Amino acid sequence: MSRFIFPEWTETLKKWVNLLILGAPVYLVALIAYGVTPEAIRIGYQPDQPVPYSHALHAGELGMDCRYCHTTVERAAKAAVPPAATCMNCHSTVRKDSDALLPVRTAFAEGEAVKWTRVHDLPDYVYFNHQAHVNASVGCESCHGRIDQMVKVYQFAPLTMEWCINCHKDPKPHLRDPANITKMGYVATAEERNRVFIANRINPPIACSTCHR
Amino acid sequence: MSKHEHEHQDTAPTPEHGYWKSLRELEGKASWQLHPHTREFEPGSDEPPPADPMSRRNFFHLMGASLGMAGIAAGAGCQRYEAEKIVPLARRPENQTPGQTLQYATTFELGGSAHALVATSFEGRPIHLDGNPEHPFAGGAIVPGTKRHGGASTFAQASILNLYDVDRSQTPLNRGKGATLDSFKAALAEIKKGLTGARILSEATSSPTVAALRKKLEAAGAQWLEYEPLSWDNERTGTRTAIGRTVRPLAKLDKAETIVCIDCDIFVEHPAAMRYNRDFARSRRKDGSLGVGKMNRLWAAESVFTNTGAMADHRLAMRAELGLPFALALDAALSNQPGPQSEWLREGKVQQFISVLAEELKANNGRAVVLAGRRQPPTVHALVAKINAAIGAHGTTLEYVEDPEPNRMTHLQAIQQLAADMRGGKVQTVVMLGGNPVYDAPADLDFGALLSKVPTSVHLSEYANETSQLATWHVPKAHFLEAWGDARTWDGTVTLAQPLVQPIYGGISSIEFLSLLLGDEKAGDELVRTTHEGKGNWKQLLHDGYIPNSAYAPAQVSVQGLSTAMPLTPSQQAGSKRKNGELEVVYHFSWASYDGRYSNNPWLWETPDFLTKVTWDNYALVAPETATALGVKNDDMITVKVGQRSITLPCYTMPGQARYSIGLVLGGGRTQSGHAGAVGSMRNGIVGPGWNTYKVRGSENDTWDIATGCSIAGGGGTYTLANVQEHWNYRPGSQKLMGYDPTETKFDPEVDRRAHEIVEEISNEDLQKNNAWKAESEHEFWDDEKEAEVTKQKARHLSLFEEHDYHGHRWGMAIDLSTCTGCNSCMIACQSENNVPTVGRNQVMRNREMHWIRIDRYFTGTVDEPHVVHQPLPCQQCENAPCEQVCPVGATSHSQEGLNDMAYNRCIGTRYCANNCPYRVRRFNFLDWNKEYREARMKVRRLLFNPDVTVRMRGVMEKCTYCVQRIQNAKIRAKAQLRNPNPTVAPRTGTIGGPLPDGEIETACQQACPTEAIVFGDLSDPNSRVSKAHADRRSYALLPELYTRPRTQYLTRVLNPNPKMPQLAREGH
Amino acid sequence: MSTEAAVVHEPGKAREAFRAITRDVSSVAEAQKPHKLWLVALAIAVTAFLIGVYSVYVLVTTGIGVWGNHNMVDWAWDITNFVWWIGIGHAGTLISAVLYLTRQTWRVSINRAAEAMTIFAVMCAGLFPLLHTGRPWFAWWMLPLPNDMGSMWPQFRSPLMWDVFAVSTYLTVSILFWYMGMVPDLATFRDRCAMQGKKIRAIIYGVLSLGWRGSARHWHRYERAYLILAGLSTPLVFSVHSVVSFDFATSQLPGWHTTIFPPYFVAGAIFSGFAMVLTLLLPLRFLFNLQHIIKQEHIGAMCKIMLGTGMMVGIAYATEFFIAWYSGNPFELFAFRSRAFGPFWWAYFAMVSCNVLVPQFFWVKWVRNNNILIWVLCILINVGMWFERFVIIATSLARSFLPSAWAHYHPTRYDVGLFVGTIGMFVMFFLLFFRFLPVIAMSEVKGASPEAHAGGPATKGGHH
Repeated sequence: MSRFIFPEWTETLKKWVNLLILGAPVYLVALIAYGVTPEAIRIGYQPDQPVPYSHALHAGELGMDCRYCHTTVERAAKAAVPPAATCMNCHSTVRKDSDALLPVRTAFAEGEAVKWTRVHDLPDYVYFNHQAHVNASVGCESCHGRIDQMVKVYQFAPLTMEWCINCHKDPKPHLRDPANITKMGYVATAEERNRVFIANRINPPIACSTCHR
Repeated sequence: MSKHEHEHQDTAPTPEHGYWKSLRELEGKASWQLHPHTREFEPGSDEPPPADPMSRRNFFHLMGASLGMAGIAAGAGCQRYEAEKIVPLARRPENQTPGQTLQYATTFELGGSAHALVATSFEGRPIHLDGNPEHPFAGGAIVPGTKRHGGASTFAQASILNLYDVDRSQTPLNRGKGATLDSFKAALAEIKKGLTGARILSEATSSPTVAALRKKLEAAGAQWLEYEPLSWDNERTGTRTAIGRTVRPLAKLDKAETIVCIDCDIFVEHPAAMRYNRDFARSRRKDGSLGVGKMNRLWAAESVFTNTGAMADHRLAMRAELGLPFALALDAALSNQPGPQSEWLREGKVQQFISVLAEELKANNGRAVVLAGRRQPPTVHALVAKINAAIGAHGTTLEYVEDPEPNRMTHLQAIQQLAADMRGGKVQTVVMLGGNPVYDAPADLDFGALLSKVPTSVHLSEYANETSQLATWHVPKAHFLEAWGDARTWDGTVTLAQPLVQPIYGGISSIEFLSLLLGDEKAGDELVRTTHEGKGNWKQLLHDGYIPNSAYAPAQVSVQGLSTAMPLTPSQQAGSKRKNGELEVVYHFSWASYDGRYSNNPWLWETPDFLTKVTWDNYALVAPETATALGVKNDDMITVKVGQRSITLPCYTMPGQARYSIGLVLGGGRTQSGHAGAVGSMRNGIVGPGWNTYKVRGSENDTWDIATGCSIAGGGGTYTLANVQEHWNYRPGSQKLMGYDPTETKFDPEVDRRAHEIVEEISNEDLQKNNAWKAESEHEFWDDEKEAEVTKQKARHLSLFEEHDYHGHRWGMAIDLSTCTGCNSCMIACQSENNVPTVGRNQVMRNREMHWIRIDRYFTGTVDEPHVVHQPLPCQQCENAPCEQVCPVGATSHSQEGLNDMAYNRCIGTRYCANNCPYRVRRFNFLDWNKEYREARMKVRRLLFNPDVTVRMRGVMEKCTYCVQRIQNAKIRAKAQLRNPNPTVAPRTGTIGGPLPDGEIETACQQACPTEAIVFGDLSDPNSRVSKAHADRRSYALLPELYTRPRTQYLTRVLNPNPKMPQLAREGH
Repeated sequence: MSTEAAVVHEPGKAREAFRAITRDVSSVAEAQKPHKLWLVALAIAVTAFLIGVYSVYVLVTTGIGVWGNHNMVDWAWDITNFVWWIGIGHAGTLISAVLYLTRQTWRVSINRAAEAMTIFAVMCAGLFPLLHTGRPWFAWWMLPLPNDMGSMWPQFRSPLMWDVFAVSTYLTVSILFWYMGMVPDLATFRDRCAMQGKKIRAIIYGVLSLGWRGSARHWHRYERAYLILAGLSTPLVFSVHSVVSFDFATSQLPGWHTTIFPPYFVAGAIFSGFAMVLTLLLPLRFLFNLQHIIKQEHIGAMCKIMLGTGMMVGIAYATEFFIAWYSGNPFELFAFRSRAFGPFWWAYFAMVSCNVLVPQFFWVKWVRNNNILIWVLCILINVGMWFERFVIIATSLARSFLPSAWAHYHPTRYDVGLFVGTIGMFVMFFLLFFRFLPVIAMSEVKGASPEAHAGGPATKGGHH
């Protein structure tokens, strides 16, 4: 009697079918898994800013210290973007009629703030503290990269929890003598790291409440 | 305290949490966004709230908390969050570091008595209030040699919520219609003309600046009157009759071995309550101010059950009207004369109470003090003055200070006279500074009707309340955190108030208003400064928040004059005026709205009453026995008839309430209240929670405080009060098999049994006698000590999982039940510090209140004469935490310092942890409690959030973590200061790794506790206060048999009963 | 297929009998128009299902707050229903696997239906652990997946984790087992459809039957695989509910913290499972007149099993009380006292009467023969078993350690809605299964029917 049975030629399909069934999911998972990693998405985020401020120029060429503007980095959670007044310290004389600086001048004149776009943006339930890290002798560069080479600042590190935890578990590679905290492209010697590690009794906590409260 | 500097005008924006550039802009926004008659969140019932059109951006931004991002960032960070703006100031004010808080001393006045406060300000927004530890009257250390500490009452702390209340009045009203400040100023010219003969009705105020302005006004011919619905003038009048001069009695409880309270609540209601709490704690602590092994003994005779009664070693439930015979009898007993004729005094119980008490007072001559409450008539206060003289209290445990205004008429007389004048048409102009007389004036005066007849009436008030509606002009008043001012604590110390923000809704302070009235538009700071010219360095004074040595001068009172000044009618001698079947009604302040002024304050309404544990409503207190006799039940709607007036409200059967005495709680049923009321009362729209009991509070033949000859009737149906702890009278199931007492005179035997284990108590006598006594600890259950001795091994523990070992800090807490007066301060402090949401009446009835620290109240003994214990219950931070073990995603886990961390953004909300928590301290966000704050109109309210604590979204579990944000910040600061000497802060050594100095970190609850009953610190430091407390033999862990090893331990409550009195049902072990 | 094999011994008679079986069973699926009652039932089921869908929508968009759960009773109907459904999901595997291994030939009439029931029940059960979370969209954090949070993994100390694995394993194996068993019958359907010229159906069934030709080799493999799966799933019958019971047994709470739970839960599960099988099969048996396949003695046998397990459950109840008293732990003792006589006494007595008293009727033979009565009793048993879980979960939580945490519990319409919804979903799936798939394991029935044994030893049809 005529019953439906898979015809002969379907045999040849078997291995392809198997391959598809086994291979496809693996491939998809791998693809998506990579596609959504912060490495793939966040690193290199480089928003436009109201003022084309060049770190490459100020921190790089002119060699200004980070702390000239980011004054509170050593004593507060926030490194603090400087008030327009700080800019005007120089720019009241230097380039004092450049159009690029117009927003700063108006801000200074009218007390209307310049609205910068945040580059390093952590979720609101994460409490990062610059004071803690800078005083623990972790260099700016470890998280922010070669700022001195960035004409327009971009996100250098993934800033994921994994990335944080890895350093909290093994901080040594990122330590340097407090004197070199803001130095860019500086590589601390093993000896220096050890010294700092011991001297400052570095022992980063990894409890949830370290960052989540 | 870091910098106390007076507030700078251009406040910093808040990069992370700010929503506008300046408070100026905020003003603009706020004013057009507010629709007063929109209802608050609707988490009532199981009705789904309407889908909310919130843009994802605001949603994330505001909720900060766990939120969708948690998962996205966590599992698959597959998107960037919307760009955030960083908005630095154009010029940064000095001392302001973005993201850091500053603290400023300020003050807040309630009922003519100042509370010295310290306000915490985050980038220009006040976010937290605490007591001022530096203040000579309100602050100081209870244990000599420890850090200075100041507590704050619930009202003082919660008043910060009113600052951001969107329902506060925002524009002047002219005959109930919106107007502008300028139009008012225009109208002011007219008003000024009528200043002669004008009446100025003010809230009771002790402000020197107001007093100064007042003189000018009186010079201009205005008459100044003061009115408070909850007045202590009876004490004033009584003392005057006794002593012949207007002086104010101030007890020195830290020196008293015997404290007697006649219908007087010294822990909450008294204007000096915060100080009395502290002094009481000083002499109550074992080895406290009275010396080794000694502690004070508290006697209370009262009608309404108060915290004082709950703390008392001996309490007599007494109808308030019997205060007089009681005082007479006590006085007689002291001078060995026959007492008055009153059959109540012949009751064995009463006789014994009075005789033993009299005996003790004689024995403790010079070490005892008697206090009477504001309800008691002047005669009683006069008698009390006499008694105090007899027991040698003067100069030792009691001192009299000069009253600033000896000739002021009493609050009652003032309002009565004003009403009379209005009725007589003598009043053309009345100016009302704050207050709400239309709502709370004696009912017989019918103040509302009279006011609307007055041609010109001006009402300055934070809220456009009942009075504002009837006044011709209403002017918004500035919140005390927005204004310059000053006031005096009960002892007279001048305490200064400085603004922390500009008036958000453009209100003006009462002193500015007065100077406006006087025609010279002076600014607040100028006015205050001129008042206190030459009192010292102004900046220093502001920093400290008070003016040193400015207390009232001690009064030299002639003790001889006393005995003569006793005008008593025979009828008074006779004792009870009560005829059979009649009831007395006493008017009691509201734990939540005080006299009605906090009607729009959800924090206060949702904090349960100290003893009834009811939230969101006021009610009539009836003794269970009386209720049964009159055939009414708990939650019945009863009609209370007082003279010709009557009111129908729910009945709460309260054990220990005096028989045939009805306690009417005031402060409910506001008709012009904000939307917070709507959450509370689901009855009729925008109305404050509860019922307006002022409707029956008349003043004819002094029934203002105590009304006799009243009656109640049931049959008004039932109304369920939202009670957070109703187990005592809840007897479901089989009465017999559950062992309930059929006569209902005893409590549930199981609750009774457990209460004995949960709250350990011992009498001081036993404690002294029995040196071997030790509160039970888990070791009795879990350590095999013998084996330990033999094997020389560490005692064996029986935990299934490996136990943690700790290096570094080990945070711990000790709560002393001997000195916890159950005042709820810790609850409000926690709510403010940790952004704890309120949920509203309906949700409280579903047991969904969110308090991280609650105060459990247990009754033992008999329903008629219950013994009450309070137990504050935060998360116990178990070392073997049952919650940690069951969380499938590890959202709650153990920190190296022994905290049970709670990562809200990791929680998926299985609620397994809560089920497995034997202490039931975990709180789940069943609904989106913060929904309303995402509405545009609620923007202002968001400013109150503590930016250091995430705001939790719905569906996550939350709980106390010992204020971990404070711990972390303190640690970081300590470490930083070592290596980065900061010019502003002196560097300290030894802070890394080792413990922080003891007392450096204070949890919010600890900071607010007026009696320092809560001690937090590092157990790894053997000398820390908390370590010592845990080592004390009174220290015990809750439910030790479970071997959870809590980091929070309780100190056994030590009672000090008089051996000659019948012993309590239970003591010690 | 096996028909040929049988022909060897008994021409005619056997063939007739087998044809009858095939015809009767297939007719259900081949009927042109579905039975009126079937349509009515389906309509009701779908409505209930939609109610459930709505409840879920409200729940997920609004929050757990739409339920009656609160801070003192954090689990109530949600977990009650979860455990109840898991319990119901037990009979299937038990009947198919355990009874198969113990050569209880009477099982063949019902095992297919029972297995289907298992799968649908477990699907219903699976909903609750997911939906009871405050943020179900993150429920996948319970799975050990790679993530960018460093060391964040599920917490394997948590019994809820064990549930995730136990239940998912159980579901997978059950589905395999069920499908495996259906293959020969699907082939039969395929052939009959082909003969009746229903092309599409033939192809669908053809694909589903994986090219089964009924050859000796097929039968050989089939038997092996079936045996192995049966062996695999037998331990699962006992493991799943044991693991579920750990949620409570490993906790602190008096009334939960009990070592007796695993066996007690398993017995209860089998108990309720069989009750549910009968609840479903009796009407359908009547509806599609399968009386001569699902024979009365089969029903009787199941009644006896319920009688047995019912009494086991009864003993468990008694033991709990004894231990509570014997342990001398006042908290424990009170927990059970308040359970029986406290606020939820009615729930407790509903549970005892339904689970302990009701089964006692099965001692009587005429009860075992009165299907209507059996059906009613089975319903009662299901109700009783639901109350058992409710009593354990809710009443224990409502009376925990600190009296300050004692509280009432009231369900809301959404609690009920979701429960009704799952019942609707369950019935809906079952009805569809009944209409379109071989509801009775024809091949096995044939193998077990007397005709197959007329000649040689009592083996299955297809031997040589």
